[in-house]
Amino acid sequence: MNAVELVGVSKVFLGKNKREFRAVHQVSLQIPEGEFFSLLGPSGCGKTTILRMIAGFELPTTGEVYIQGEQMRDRPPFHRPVNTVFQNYALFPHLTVAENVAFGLEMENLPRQQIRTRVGDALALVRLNGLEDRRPRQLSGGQQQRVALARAIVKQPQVLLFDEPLGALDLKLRKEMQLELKHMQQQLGITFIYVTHDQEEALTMSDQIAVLQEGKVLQVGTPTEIYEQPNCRFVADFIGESNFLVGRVIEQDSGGVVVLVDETLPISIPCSETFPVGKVVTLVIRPEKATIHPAHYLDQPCLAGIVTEVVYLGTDTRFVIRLTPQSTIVVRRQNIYRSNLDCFAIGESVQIQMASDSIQILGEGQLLPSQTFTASRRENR
Amino acid sequence: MITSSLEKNQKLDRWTRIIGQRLLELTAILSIIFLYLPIIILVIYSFNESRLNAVWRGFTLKWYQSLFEGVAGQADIATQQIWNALFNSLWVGGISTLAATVMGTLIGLAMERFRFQGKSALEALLFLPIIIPDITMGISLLIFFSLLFQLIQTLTGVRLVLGLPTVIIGHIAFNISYVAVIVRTRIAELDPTLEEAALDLGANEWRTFYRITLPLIVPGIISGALLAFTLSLDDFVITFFTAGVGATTLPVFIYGMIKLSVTPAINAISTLMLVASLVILVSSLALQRQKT
Ligand SMILES: Nc1ncnc2c1ncn2[C@@H]1O[C@H](COP(=O)(O)OP(=O)(O)OP(=O)(O)O)[C@@H](O)[C@H]1O
Ligand SMILES: [Mg+2]
Repeated sequence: MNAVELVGVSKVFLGKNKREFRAVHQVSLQIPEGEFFSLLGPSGCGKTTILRMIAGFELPTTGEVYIQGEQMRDRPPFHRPVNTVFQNYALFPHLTVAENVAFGLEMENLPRQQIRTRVGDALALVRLNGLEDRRPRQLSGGQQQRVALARAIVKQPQVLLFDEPLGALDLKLRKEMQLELKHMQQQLGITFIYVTHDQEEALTMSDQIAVLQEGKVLQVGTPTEIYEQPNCRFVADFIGESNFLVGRVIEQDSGGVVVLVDETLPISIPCSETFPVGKVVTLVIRPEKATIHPAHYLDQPCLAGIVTEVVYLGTDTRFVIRLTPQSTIVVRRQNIYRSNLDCFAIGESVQIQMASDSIQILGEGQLLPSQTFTASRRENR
Repeated sequence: MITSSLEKNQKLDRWTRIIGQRLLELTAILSIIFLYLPIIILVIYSFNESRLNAVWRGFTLKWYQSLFEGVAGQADIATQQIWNALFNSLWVGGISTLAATVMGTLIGLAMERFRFQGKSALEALLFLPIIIPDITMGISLLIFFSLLFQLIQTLTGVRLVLGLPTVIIGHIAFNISYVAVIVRTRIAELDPTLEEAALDLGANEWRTFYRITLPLIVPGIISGALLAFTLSLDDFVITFFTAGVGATTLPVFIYGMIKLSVTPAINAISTLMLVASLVILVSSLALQRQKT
């Protein structure tokens, strides 16, 4: 059974002067039990709104939310088997740490003794013993974060919702908490629904990621699927770094296609999908999947270009290489040997080798005006 | 050429700045003197030996003493009346504050938390008692009460007259606004996710209010109540119109005394009221400033 299921959920806000604003549009998601599921997308894409509809703070304008198979439309937040860790933590300032954590259990009218043991256990789990009697404002950001976590976990919910819980922490603490959250999720076996705009965070923590843009789900998949086989340019661009080469299909057979980039550069790619000849497509090439060689190093046909930029980044070096007057490609090379750190200089001719099966073809794209212009001029000749 | 004129400009700027600053300081000091000099004089004369206010005859505490003899029942009739009036003032202040605080808090909550029809109209109406002149409010209350009493008399034959209850109603009427405005500011500063967090943790709306919202806005409520109490103690105009015979509060009584003869006991009691008002007002401000 799915822990949480959204069926065709949309949310329309009525703004000032009664203008409608569609924050979430026709979102359908199945989130299996025990999974670490991330909602990833840029600011304003509707992540928080989706989370709030699951928690019950907003009602979907259309569509339904199911938790453990039960429809949630008529259930107020305090009757839903989910708990939320808020972005700003939302700790009660007039209560101590222990009282904050105990609050949810008091609402269940549990016996006092049981509350005390469970609060102790939860605080131990987030390693906050000894701070029971402090007020939230006497804690550091990281400690507040842990209290918020303990306060939600102590309720032993089926599903925990997180709204950018690490957003306010510094980078190092953030990395630590990422690992800790992931461990905790595996240990407790609770379903985590995790909102973030940080693609790296989503990649490292999640079992599955849903990528959102302007209220719509673009792609749902494991981190590997999302990174290796992005299904559209937005996803490829938002997650990791990508090169995009736009071109026309000029040949197509059962084994693959040949794409002519900028009317001058043919690239042949094996693929199982069929693209009609003449269709404009986009090639997605990850910078680390291309290797750079001196000119004439390889005698097989491959891409050739001129180095226009070299940036040393420590673990690797980033080269920008001009392939055609219109297009460049970014290649990253790991700095394995000290001896050949600066073997490619700006202005140098180089060859680029790619495993052709690591190129992703997207059936979308637009030729730049200059490209169409060159194309038509050629035809005139 | 250019640099020298620039330097000149800078010098001029500096001088205008300094002069402007001094002028501002002077104005501030003068206004403070203007505001507080009469009060300071009042306080000083409450320690004056002379029966006449105009001349200083030396320091004494006898006017304060005479006030407190009133408690022991040995005072003259005038002091006895002062105590009666003070008691009336406290009674009116207490009851009207209590009622206005409860109602004002509820209105403040409703205004900040709910959307309803006619909200903006209510908002404007709520500010009205704060801005309309006391005299207008006093007269309108007087007319209202006399019409109401006439109606009651024709319907039931019972004859009602103005008195402390009408004063209390009048005070509630203007105090509600102040309390509502202060409570509302406090609620507006309250982070709404705190209430959501409580709902999320399984508290229904009532328990959320009782355990989270109320404790967090209590400083606002108390400060609204303190302000209401001071306003009620100090009010003259509205009380004057709604009091009728025998329902004399301290300000009304003092006003009446001035017309007959001014005993320095009035200075003493005014000073005491001033101190009490100050204490209440300062605590009210301190509570408003207190961060959640
Ligand atoms: N109560 C509301 N009334 C009107 N518009 C709203 C409301 N809540 C959210 N929106 C709008 O809906 C859109 C999505 O908001 P949401 O908070 O879900 O974004 P988000 O993905 O969480 O962004 P962020 O990463 O910045 O938190 C935004 O454009 C926002 O302005
Ligand atoms: Mg958000």
